[in-house]
Amino acid sequence: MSNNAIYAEMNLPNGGRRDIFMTHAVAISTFIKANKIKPVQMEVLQSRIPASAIATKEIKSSKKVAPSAKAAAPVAMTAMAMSTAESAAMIPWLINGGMKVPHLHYKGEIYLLSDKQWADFSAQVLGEFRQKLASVKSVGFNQLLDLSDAMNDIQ
Amino acid sequence: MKFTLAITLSCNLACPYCYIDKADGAMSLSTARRIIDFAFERGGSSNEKIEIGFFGGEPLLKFDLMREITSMIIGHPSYDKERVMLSVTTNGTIFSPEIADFLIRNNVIPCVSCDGPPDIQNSSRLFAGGRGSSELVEKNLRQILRHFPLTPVNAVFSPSNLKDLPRIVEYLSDIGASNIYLNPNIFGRWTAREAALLPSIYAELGRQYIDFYRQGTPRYISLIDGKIAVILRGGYKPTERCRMGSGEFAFGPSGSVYLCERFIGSDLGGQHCIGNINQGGISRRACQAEVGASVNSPCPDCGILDYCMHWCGCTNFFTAGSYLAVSPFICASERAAIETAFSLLQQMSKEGIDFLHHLAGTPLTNTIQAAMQEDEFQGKGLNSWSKPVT
Repeated sequence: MSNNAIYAEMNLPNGGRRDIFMTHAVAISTFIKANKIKPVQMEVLQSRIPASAIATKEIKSSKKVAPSAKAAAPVAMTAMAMSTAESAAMIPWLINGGMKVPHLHYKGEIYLLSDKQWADFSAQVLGEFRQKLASVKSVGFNQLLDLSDAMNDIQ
Repeated sequence: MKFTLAITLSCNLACPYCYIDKADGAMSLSTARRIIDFAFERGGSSNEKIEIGFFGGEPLLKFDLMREITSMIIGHPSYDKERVMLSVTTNGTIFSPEIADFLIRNNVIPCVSCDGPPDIQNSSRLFAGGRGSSELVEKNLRQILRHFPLTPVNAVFSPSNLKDLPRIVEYLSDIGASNIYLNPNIFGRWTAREAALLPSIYAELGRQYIDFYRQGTPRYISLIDGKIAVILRGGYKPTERCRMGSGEFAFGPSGSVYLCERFIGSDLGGQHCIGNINQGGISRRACQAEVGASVNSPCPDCGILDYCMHWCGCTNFFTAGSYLAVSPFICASERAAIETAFSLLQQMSKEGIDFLHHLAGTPLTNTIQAAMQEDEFQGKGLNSWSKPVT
C-alpha cells in the first residue's frame, strides 16, 4: 500500500507532514491503537504562540525538566493538558513549521502524545534503526570499484 | 532549487585545496540577467525554495557587481521574498559596515570559510604572498557573527589535521559560531589509517555536542545534527540528495553552466559543463547522480544506505573518480557519523532532550533559531539572522 493510501494529504496549519510519519506509518497505527490515543480536534490547533515564548515559560516553570536540559529543550505539553482549548492555544510552534510538542500524524489526524508516550515511540524508532545498523556494509580501501552499466556520464 | 553564481574567479587567498583556478575578470551583467531569468523559470515551476548563492573566487572582491546582481534578483517580476534565499560564500578577509548593511537590508546570508585556530587556518588559507589570513579572518568573523549570529562557518579538514576536529569546533564555538560545517578536503590523500581514526574523533565531537546542549548553548555541527535528523526522519528526502544538473546548477563568469560549483575549475567548459546561458542554456543531458544509485557493490545491501550521503556527485567524482562511486574514506566517514549520531540520540533521549526540532524543517537549526527568536520576543530588536548595523 502506498504512503498516500496509508496517509491522506491534509491541509495542515503549517504545511505538509514530515517524513517520520510516512516512514513509520504502520508503527504509528499500531501505537495509537495500543495506547488508545484519540485524535485532537483540528480547530484547537489554529492558535499559535511563538515557540520561544512558550519555551521560556515552560523551561522556567517545569519541575519535570532536568536542569541540564532546561535551556536546550523545552518540555512538551502533555496530552492531558492539551484537552482544553486554553491549553491547546498554548502550543509552541517551531519557526520552520511543526508543533513543538510530541505528536503523530496518521490518516489525516493528529495525535498528541505525553512525554512518556513520545519516549516509548522514539525508543521504537531507534530500535528499528538499531537493527539497520546491524547490517552495515563498507567500501574497503583494497576493494575495486564495481562500476555497473547503470552509471551515466554526460555525453 | 539551487543556483550558484561564481561572479569572479579572482581571489586574494591561495588555498591549496581550492577547486577554482584563479583568474581575473568578472561576470557581465547581461550574463547575470540571463542566469536570473533561468533561475526563476526553473524555480517557478516547483514549490521549492530558490537558493541563489554568490560564489567565487572571492565574490566580495566584486562587491559592486554583487550589489547590482542582487538588485536584479529582487527587482525581477517573479521574485518572492518568501521563496528566494540569497547567500554569499566568502573567505572572511573582506568585511565592512557597508557590506553588513547591504547584507542585512537585502537578506543575504553570509557563509564564511574558516578552517579553525590560527595554526590550522594559516597552514592552508594564505594570502598570495604567503602571509597567514587567520588574524584578519578571526577579526572579521567575530564582527560577522555579531551581525549574523547564525552565520554558517565552513571548515575544511585534511588528513594532516583530522585529529584536530574537536579543537577546530572548540575554536569556532569560542569565537561565536553556532552553525559549524565540517567538510573533508576532497583532494586530500585519505587512507585507511585516517578512516580508522574516524570513530574515536567523531565520538569526541559527540561529547562536545552534548556538552554544548547541557550548557544551554547548542551548536549545529553538520556531521552530527544532519545525521540525527536523518535517523529520526527515516532517511534523506529526494530533494535533499544531490540533484546536479536537474535541481542544482553552478555558473561560471562566462555563463557556462556546471553541475556543481566544485566543477567550475577554470570556467573553460569541459567534462562537467552542460551548456552556456549565453548560448541557449542547457545543451547536454543532466547527470543522473540525483538518482542516488551507488555503483559500489556493498552499498545496495547496506542497512544504512538511506541515511548515507553516497549520492554526493562532486564528492564522489573527486574522491573516487565517478559521480556514482563512493570512496572508502567517505564510506567510513558516513558510517562513523551515523553511528555517533545514533549513540547521541540514545544518550540524550535519556536526559529528556527529544530533538523535536530535528523532525521539522531544514536546515536543522530550529534550536538555535528559537534561541535567537527568544531575543527578538524579549524586545531586543533582533531578527533571526541579523542585527542592526551600529
